[in-house]
Amino acid sequence: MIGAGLALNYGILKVLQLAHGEYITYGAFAAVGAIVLFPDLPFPIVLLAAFLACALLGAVAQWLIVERAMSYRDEVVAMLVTFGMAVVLRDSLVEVVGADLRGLSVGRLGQANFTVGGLTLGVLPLLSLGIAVASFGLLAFLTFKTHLGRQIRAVSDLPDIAALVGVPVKRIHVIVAALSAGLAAIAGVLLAMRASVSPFSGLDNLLIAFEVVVLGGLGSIRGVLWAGLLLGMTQVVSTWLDSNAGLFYVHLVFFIVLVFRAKTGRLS
Amino acid sequence: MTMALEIAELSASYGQFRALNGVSISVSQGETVALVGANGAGKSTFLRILCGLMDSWEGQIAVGGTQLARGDPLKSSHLGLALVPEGRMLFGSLTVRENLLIGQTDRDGPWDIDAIERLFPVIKERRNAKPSELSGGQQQMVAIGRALAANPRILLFDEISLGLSPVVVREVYNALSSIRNEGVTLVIVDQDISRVCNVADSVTCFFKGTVTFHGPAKGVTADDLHEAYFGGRS
Repeated sequence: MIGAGLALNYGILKVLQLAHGEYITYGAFAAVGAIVLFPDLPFPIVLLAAFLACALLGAVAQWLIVERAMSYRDEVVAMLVTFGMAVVLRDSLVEVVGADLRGLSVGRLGQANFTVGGLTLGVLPLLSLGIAVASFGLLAFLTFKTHLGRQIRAVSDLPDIAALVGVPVKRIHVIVAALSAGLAAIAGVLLAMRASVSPFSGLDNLLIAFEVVVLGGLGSIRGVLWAGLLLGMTQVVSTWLDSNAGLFYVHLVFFIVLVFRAKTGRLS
Repeated sequence: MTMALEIAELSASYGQFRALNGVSISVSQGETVALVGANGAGKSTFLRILCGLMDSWEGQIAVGGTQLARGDPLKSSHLGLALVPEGRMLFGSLTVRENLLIGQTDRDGPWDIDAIERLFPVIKERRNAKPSELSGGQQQMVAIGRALAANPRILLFDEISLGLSPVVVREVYNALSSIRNEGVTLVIVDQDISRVCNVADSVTCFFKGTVTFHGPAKGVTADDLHEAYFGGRS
């Protein structure tokens, strides 16, 4: 989930969105804020609220800032602008909510599990997996089965020709940026359900998002799904074997795959 | 009578290179114009400007009486311009049918998907294929179909027969007569001068960014075009 929005953003807009990690953090804090304000709010509504809040943020940022940066031929300009956005978003969040760690209380759900054939499965990780798979499914439906999806793919292929056949390219950019930020928000909510999140978590999340996207292939949503599963499984197994490992084995697997690709000439 | 295209003193540059220099042309609605000239004469630049794919130009361009926006392909599309680009430029991640569907606009006209498939039956046969699975000729038919799906007022062809077999070129040119019968203004760039002049109402020849010949296709001689092609007459 962490990498999906980043891959979507790069795949269509060809912009490395360095504020993606902050969108993840904002998603988590939007959910925390919603729960604080309305403690009885059902979880699906919290998830939807976080999605919509970050989607709006992503859309406005694209419309007012990134779109203008994209008009420069040099891709570095847009990337640097998103880096600046990341700094502003992070510091704004610190200013508003402070630097404390926050998390979403899931009550007994955090410990709930069941056993199938001798294998104990946690309900929360399965719920996260289900939400991630449903999000990917909806994204795939939108991309491959709707007129908007056709327009998105056309813009990704040939933006100038897409505009010439009547596709509103800038509007598509804004929609994609909103979707990308919304997906990041869902990832943020799922993260906040399992671990504490601070306003400074964006960079860590961006790093993992980059690993997922680089492994899966820049712009490939399907590749991102497989890469996310590989790194996710690595984290689960390594935590089971060595509870102090943190993300060490995740980074190690990423490094090994990169070395393998470099040796076999498939780095890009 | 409103002209389909009125172009006055059009000039454009790529850095220091002057690609167009004071081009002035008028094209009537429903007219078919053959645009000829050597490589680098400015034909493709001319089409790129009309399509909004280039913004560094000077002069006046009116499409159906409305001034053309600078460097805005979406507005060119709204004015009724459509392009069949050199190299086809189909959307590779879309199927043949999706390439047609995305070309559709709200503009009324005779070209729905069924009509396009009747014009080029191979499109119907390969509707679920990706462009990369098609031959060059089939790709060109899809590119024409995609442009027609917008029911354009002015249809621009850049190097219409480039890289196509003689059989396919004949098929494409046969389709042009059906298209012009619907009243669409056609501007055709082709290196096959005699073939394009045979279907055109008028011929415009570019040489080093200037118009060296503009007149009716009927009666134009090989000597006229030869002279204009190499910059001998204006």
